[in-house]
Amino acid sequence: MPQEKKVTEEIVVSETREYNIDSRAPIYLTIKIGDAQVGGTAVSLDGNNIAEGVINNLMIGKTGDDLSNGILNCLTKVKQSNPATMRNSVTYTLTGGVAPKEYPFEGKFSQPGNTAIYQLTLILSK
Amino acid sequence: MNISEHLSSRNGQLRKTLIVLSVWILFSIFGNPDLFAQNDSLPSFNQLRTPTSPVFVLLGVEPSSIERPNSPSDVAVSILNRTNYASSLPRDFAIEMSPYWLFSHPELSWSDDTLRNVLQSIVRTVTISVATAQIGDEQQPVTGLGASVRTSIVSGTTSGESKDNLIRAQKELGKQATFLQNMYSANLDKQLKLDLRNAGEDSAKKDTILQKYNSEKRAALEMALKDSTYIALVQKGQSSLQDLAAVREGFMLELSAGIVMNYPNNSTDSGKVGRYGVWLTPSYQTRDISTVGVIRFIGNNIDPSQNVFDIGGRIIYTNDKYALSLEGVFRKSTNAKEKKDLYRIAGNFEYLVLKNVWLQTTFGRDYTSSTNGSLIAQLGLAFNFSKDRFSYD
Repeated sequence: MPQEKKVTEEIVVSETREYNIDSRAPIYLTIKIGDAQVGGTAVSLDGNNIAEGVINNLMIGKTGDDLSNGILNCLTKVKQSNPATMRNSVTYTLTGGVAPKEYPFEGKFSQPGNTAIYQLTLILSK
Repeated sequence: MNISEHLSSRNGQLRKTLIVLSVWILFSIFGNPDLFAQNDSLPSFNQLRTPTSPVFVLLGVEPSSIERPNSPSDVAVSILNRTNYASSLPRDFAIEMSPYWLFSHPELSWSDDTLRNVLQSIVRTVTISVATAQIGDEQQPVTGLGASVRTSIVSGTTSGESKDNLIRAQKELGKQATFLQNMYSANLDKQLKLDLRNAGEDSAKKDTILQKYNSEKRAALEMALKDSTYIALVQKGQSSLQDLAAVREGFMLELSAGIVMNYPNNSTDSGKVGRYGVWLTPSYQTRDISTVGVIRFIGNNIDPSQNVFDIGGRIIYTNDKYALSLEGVFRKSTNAKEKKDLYRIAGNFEYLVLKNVWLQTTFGRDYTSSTNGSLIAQLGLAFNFSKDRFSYD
């Protein structure tokens, strides 16, 4: 008997980290969705949307902007598109600050067809 | 045996067949209620169905002599029920695993995987398989136990349609992420910025602020996921999240090799190497039609006069729930005294009756037409399990 479709979303990661910046230079964000799965991200700065979808070398701020104490919020939804594995992973990479930094996270879909949610808040500090 | 006894015997075997098939189907239904295959967003047959293990070819129990290239999963189990009258429980099992997909690959995005070089193709598609089958008869039972490895040297490219589906999915997921983020985080983030500025250099105060922010953020996100407006948005976007399994098309070349040990009377002491083989399978795949060739050498350690070369082809039509194919294989013995060349022609139909359960029928002529059993007329069930491999939603 046909079953109704269920959409189940599970929070894989909800974290807050710091990233050290030079106060007057832009920084760059790249978000990679691994294990050949598909996903999309929303990015906001201090509560204001600044980008959506595929995030590749996104420039945050301009030269002269003071980004210190900025709150960079990333929310990524990942759906299974690779039938070879139930694993999922998202790596957030920031450059342009004091040093480049990667924030890698991994998870597994608990059921086929689920959506994994990764949420990362980055506090930009001097 | 007279005619009425013969008919009675055949009726008895058919009755047994129906009983066994019914038991298996009922077991499958009540064992797992979520078993009915739906076709709304089912990936194509080529992506869903792991081909039967190469070891089955060496064991001589393969439903098809030419298998299309493998779509690996981390672990897959195949069970063939191939007895002439399906009159007993399945006896032929294979387990196949892909070492590459047992581990996480955070550096590999779907767009990186659309085109593979030779090394990438080999590493990402190599599978190791172990299988067993009963290859003797009731008078002289022999258990065959074999191992094989296969890999695609060339594995085509992701189809244009698949790429479009994945790009559309990216956009839809980004849109949903923005909606969700706006629901829970805007005020929290603004408050956090203010609180951190007010805390100054007081690290103890900052830790408290961050702890409070983390727990409030998590709770707000969990609540937003249950919000009816958000759920309605996600349901509305489902059509953009269909057919996400990347379909590979184009030219492919697979290399397989394997070896079988024979154990007469299931005795470990009596085990000896039986058949071994190596073969190349070139193919050209589109979403619906695949043409597959094979060039194969099978050696027989027990009787080297039975070493053979095979060359053949198969054409397969697939859609979401079934596959129809026709194959022909020409066989030449390496024994110079063997004058007669042999061939096999078979038609094969597979239908997805339940989740992970395929009904398989094969009709045709096997290699030696003059020997008993050379008429191929098989009906069976193939159970293909790959743990949590893909959704049928």
